[in-house]
Parts: sequence; C-alpha cells; structure tokens
Amino acid sequence: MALKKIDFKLIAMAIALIFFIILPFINGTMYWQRLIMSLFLFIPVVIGCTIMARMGALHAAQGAFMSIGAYTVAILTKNYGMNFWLVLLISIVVTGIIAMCVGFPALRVTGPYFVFMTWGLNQLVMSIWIKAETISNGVRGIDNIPRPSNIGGISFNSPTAIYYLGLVLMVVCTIILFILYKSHFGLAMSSIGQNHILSESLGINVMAVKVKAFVTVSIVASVMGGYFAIMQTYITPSDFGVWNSFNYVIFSIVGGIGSFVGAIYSSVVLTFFPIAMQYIPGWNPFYKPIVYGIFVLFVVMVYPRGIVGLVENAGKGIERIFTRNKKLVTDDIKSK
Amino acid sequence: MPLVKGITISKFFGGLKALQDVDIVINKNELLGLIGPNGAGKSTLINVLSGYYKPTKGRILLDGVDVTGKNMHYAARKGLVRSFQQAAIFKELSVFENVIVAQHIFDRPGIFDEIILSHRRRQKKFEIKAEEFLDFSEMSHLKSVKAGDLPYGYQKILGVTMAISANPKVLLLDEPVTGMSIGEIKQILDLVVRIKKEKKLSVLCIEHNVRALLEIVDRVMVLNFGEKIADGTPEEISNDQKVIDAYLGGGY
Repeated sequence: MALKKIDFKLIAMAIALIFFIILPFINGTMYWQRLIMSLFLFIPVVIGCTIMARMGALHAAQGAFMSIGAYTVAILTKNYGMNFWLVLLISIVVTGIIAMCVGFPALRVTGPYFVFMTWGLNQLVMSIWIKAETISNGVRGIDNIPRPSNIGGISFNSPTAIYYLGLVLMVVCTIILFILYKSHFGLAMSSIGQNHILSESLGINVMAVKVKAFVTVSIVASVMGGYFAIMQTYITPSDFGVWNSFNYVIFSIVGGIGSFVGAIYSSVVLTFFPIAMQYIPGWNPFYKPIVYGIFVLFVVMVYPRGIVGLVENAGKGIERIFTRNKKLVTDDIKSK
Repeated sequence: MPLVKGITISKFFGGLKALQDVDIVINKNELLGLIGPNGAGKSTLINVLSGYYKPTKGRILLDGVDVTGKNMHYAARKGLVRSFQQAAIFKELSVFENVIVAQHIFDRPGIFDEIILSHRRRQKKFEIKAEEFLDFSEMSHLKSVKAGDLPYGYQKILGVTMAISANPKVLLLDEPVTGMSIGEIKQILDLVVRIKKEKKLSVLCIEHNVRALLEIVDRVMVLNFGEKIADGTPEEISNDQKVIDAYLGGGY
C-alpha cells in the first residue's frame, strides 16, 4: 500500500513537470507563464519555512532574505553593470553570512519568541531598504533591472527564457532541500523538533543543526529573491514585507505541518486559489486574508495534516473503492 | 584514574538546596547504584553530571577532561550519555530511525556533505549498527513500529538502547524500571548488566527498587536531602544505620 502512495506522488510531480516544460509551447501568452513563475518562486521558499517549522521554528523572515537577494542583484547588475551570475554567487555568500549572524541569537529561542525575532528582523531589513535611499532608492524601488547576461550561449532576453530559468532554479533548490530533508541531517532536524533535550543528550549539537538549516533555507530564499528581481524587473521594499513573509508561513502550515510534499501542494493550491475565486460571484479580493486566516485556524486546531492529509485520505478512499470487493470476501472467511 | 569524578558538586535553585558538596566517583567497568528518598537530589545529580544543569559549585571530570558547565552534547560526545526517567524517545519516528538518530554522534554530516551525497556509504554502516543494537535489546521485531505506539515498557527499553548506541563510556540511567511489571523489571535489569559486561561500560543506575538493585550493583551511593550520606558495597549499605533510618527501613 505504501508503494502505491509513493508512485502516485511521483507520477503527479512528473506530470506537473512535463506540463511546466511544455507550457510556453501550448500557450504563447504570458498570462499563465507569469502565474507559474510566481509558483516557482513560492515553492522553495515555502519548503524552507516547512523545514524550519519541523524544528519548531516559525520562520517569519523569508521575505527579508528574499529582499537581500533581490536588492543585491538589482543594485549590482543595474548600477554597476556586473554579471548576473557572479552577483548571484555574491548574494549567496552575503546571505549566508547574514543568516549565520542572525541565526545564532534568534535560534536560541523557540516558539513565539522566535517568530518575534524573525518578524523584527523582517521589519528591520525593510526599514533599511526604505531609508537607505542612495543605495536602494527608498520606497520608489528599483526599476529597469536588466536581464541576466548570456551564459553558455543561452540568451535571457525573452520572457520565456526567464520562465525556464525559474523552472530550473525551482527544481534545483527543491532537490537540494529534499536531499537535506531525507538525509540523516533531516532526521536529526526532525528529532530536534520532537524532543530537543533528548537530541542534545544523544550528542546532537542542536544549535549547530538549527543554524545550518536556517542558513541553507535563507540562502535558497535569497536566490529566489534574485530571480524575483529579474522576473519582475521592478522591486520595492513592500514586495518583501512582513505580510509576504507570513504568507509563506501560512502556505507552509496549510500544506501540512512539517510536510515537504505538503509545502508543494499548498503552494500550487494557494497560488491558483485567488484566480479561481475570481469566478465566484460576490468575491472581493479583500476577503483573501480572511479566508487564509480561516484556513490556518482550521489546520492548526482541527486538522494538522493539512492538504497532505486531505490528499492521502482521498487516496485511501479511492483505494478502498477498488478493494471493497476483496475485503468483503476476507471478512466472510474470518467470521466463519 | 576514575572514569567520572564529580568534586564537591552543589546545585542551588535560588534558595532551594538540591545538592550540596556531593563527591562522586565512577570507576571503569563498574555498576554504581544511586539510591535515596524522593527529593534527595538523585536526578539532579545526573542532570548536573550530564550537563543539563550547570552546577552552582564544583567540577566534573570525565576521563580527566573537565566538562563542567558544558552543553549536554559536549559531554555526550566525550562519552557520557544519560537516559531519562520518563521514556524519552522520538515518538513520530520508527524504532529503527530512533536508534539511527542516536548514532548521530559518530558522524556529523555537514550540509554540503549531504548535498553531494558523499557520506551515503557511511550511512549504511549506521544502519547495520542500528540493527545490532536492536538485536542486543531484543527489539528487532519491532523495528518498523512508530515509537509512540510502543507499550510503555518497550519505550523505556528503547530509551536505554538509544543511550547505548550513542557509544558512551559511561551510562547514567535515571530510574530505568520505574513503572514496570515484574517481568519487565527483570528484562531491563538483565539488559543493564549485559550492557556493563559485554560493552564494558560503566553504569550509574538510579533506582527505588532497592532489593533488585542491590543484587546487580558493584557499589552503592546514598543521597539524602542533597547530601551524600553513604558510599560502599551493597552489604555495607544494607547495614549502615544512617541509610536504614533515612530510607531503607528494616528488612534489607
């Protein structure tokens, strides 16, 4: 039975991947491509939130780290004409250093205190972008961010090229995070989330594991932030505000607390949710935060398994429909 | 040189005296019992020795190395591992995964290692070792069970198994048989004796079931109101009037 479940997930993702690859060929307009590019953006960031959540740390600063990547790319490629790919590497290093400096004090606390610290960090970074007008252009933001320069003979001047870049980045980041999640390091992370004192007593350096995970997740967010910059070609501080960070946390919770696949499911569902809602009469986009809030309350209070739980229950239900006949027979034999 | 040496350990929680000037010595390949009434400071002593609490005063030497005030994971990596009174296991993981996590000390893969998959080969070794430990504790048949689903007795055995698989030189067991049935008590105490003999570890064992404990230990230390009141062989302790008055009553 377990084998069937894994196959289903893999098949679904393979289909999705194929769909993403052929999309530009079946639909020439940019409407769907733009929508799915934002999905590419969400998935690794939300998975990052999920990974931190597994250790009991609700990471409310993914927006801040995205902004570090985005502004680094925007400023260095537009104002200094540097090569995008080089800048991406620079932003990875810079983000890593910042995440380590922030991580050590922040990860000493857990629960709501960690949320406050990351929330505060997010606000702090936003304030820096708003105030440091000479570098960041303040609230006006940075526009006309140049496309990435050619690499390996591939040109990125067309929107479709940017779309495929997003696909590649999303897949690479997701695979990296998945390997982490499934490895012994991931097992250590999960154990810390369940009983950090026991983990410590068995020799796991809890602080080191938390910081390593935090730095990795923040670097991924920063890379996606860099992608955001060249995708939108226009960034402002409000693109990375606290509401955005909370959005990622909400996606991560609704997918199923601590579930890797759940983060992917919920990113998909909640990206298309506002689009679908437009077709319902009487829908006002203003309702979106209220509805999200209700989702979160529901998952936290009633159904922690989230979207993943719904999917697995549906899968079990479908299985039962197909095996129902067999079950009746074995029941008969037993009762005799 | 003794394996563990605690020198004039004191632990005060504000005005509350939990431990005062307790000297403790654990020798190599020795099974030391720690007994005393509730509130005597036995668990506190284990907490201080393992690094969960920093002592208010005093020093702890592990094989000559000063581990006073260091984090628990530091002491664990130097060979001092403890079990917990309430069965401490990772409830969401399977029994097998629990034992794998406990071996994390052996190999601390960095993130980069994980990503480039360089230590996958070594992971196989842990999995083999995990099987061995589960065999040792006679829990192999339960290896895929979710740890939280185990009956309480097996959870405690799993807790002890995990402590052993962290490769300690000395094992501190906090009331390993409390809450067990008679058969389970025998099972766990047999396991403790086998641990000491076959793995050549030292073991410190807190227990209230003194009768069972006195049969298996080499030496006993007695605490009362945070102070050490006796230290000697099981015979000496059973006949020590101070101990009888404080804790044992007649009949030992």
